[in-house]
Amino acid sequence: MDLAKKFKAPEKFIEVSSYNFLPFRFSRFDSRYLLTNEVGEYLFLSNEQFLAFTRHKLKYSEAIYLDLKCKHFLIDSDSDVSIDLLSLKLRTKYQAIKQFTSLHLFVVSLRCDYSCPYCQVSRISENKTQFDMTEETALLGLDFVFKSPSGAIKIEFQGGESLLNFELIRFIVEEASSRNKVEKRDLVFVIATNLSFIDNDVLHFCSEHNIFISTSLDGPQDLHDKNRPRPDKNGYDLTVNGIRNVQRSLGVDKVSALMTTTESSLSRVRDIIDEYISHGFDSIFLRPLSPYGFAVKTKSIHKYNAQRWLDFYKEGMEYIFELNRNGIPFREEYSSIILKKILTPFNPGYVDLQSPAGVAISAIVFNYDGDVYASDESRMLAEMGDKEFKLGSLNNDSYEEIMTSEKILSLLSETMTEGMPMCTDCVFMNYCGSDPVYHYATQKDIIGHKSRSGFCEKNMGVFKYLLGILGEDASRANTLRGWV
Amino acid sequence: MVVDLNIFSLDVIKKVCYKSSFFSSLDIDPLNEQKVVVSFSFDEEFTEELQKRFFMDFNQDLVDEDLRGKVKEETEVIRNLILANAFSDTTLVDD
Repeated sequence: MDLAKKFKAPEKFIEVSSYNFLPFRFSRFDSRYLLTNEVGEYLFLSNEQFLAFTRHKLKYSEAIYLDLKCKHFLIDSDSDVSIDLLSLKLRTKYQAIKQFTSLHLFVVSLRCDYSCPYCQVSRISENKTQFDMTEETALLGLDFVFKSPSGAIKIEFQGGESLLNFELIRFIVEEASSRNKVEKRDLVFVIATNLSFIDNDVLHFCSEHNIFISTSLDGPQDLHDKNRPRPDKNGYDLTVNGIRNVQRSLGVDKVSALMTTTESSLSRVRDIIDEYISHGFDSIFLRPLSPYGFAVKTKSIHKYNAQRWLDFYKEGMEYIFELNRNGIPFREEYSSIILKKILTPFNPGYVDLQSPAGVAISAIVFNYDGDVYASDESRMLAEMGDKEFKLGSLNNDSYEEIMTSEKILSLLSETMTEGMPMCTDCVFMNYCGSDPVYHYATQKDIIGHKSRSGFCEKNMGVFKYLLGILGEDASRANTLRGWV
Repeated sequence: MVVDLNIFSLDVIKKVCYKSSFFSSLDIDPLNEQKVVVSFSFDEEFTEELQKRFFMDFNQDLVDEDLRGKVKEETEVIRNLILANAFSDTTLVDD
């Protein structure tokens, strides 16, 4: 008897067309449909495939059926393992919330030696020491820090120019390290500085305490000095010499740089990236201006819109692909954060792309005067006179009072994208997040109308760009996968 | 624009209007029990060409939004099961 007679035909083993949907979102995407689900899986379908799928007419024998099944868009009688897998991935995605506040920012001084027109912090001139944090306030801040249940604690020193109050940084680091002998947390320190005042004493201290340095580098000398004017006109020289000194003394991995995009930067993305490469960096964060502080007062924020920034970003990305093709490994940091959300179930913990918003539960800020803010952007807004996001004061309020305050609880419940108009149906929802401070600053509403939101326009543009590449360009998609 | 409530629910119409309100101010008025009228008023710089595109998108959005509602309805039970399974310590699926 031949085999064909011994066995039934394959279709006898399959119940055709008896699938159910698993929860998904969709949107038209060029001439196709993009589908995403609760855990960030994505799939492109042609119009015909989409229609067949949503009308329950898709045949088991079609290749796209298995893709939809593997990526948890449908479930059939063959297996219900998708529910367990989706649950597990969802739980993994929200794991970061259980960790609670990790990043604690100490604004040790508002003083600064620069006069940047785009400054988002509203700095004070160098000699006004009443804008320095005191040791008493710092100790209250550390009491707060170690009440966080997080196993990993990052303390970041911000300004103004933080090194103008280096003695307080020294005090906080030594005190925190001493407390940590009992606490045994994974404790990390970062100094955000323009590097003007970095010297051997500071470097030696950073080396002893394994401190990371974060600085600002806006591009080549002419652009950097234009964006970040210093009275002595030597900002660029001080910055790049500082970067070299840190790399030499502490190691190349101990210093990172951030750029801010101004109108003058828009036509210079290649120069800016080349500048980063010339200083040994293997990545760049193409960061737009935020609508706070001097960026608003000097109208810098109004000089370009989200679309112009997106053009700048895409030109930069194309150049970065070119560099990678030519054997120079280089990546764009914002894309890397988003790719992690697209390609893995893990939450990269980026404060601006979280739901509920990362305010207070991911990062919290202690201002120089002891006021506690929900995020760095919140205190930037406060320096403009609007204390909407002030959560309390280290001088008057306990950890418990602040962290269980109505303000925080309502901020968290109102910033879940799952319940926000337009976000709830947005195909990109799982890659995005809430930024209540941005929307409050631009629309006086913490949720904001998304079709008028620069935050939304910028992020949707980046998601579309990255997913477009992942969906149709194997070579560049491989480069992107290497960034996760 | 007249929209038949037998085809699209008022919820769907409101969602699409909300989304579209950046380009136009909109009013929704009942015509009779079966139909509503959606009126649009555009800024002067919103050209005829843009208006044509707007109405095409508006109609497509009605269809998409209607489907979203159906998918949501069809997946509500399983979505709740996944959420409960993800955030509880029990093995609800096996039970």
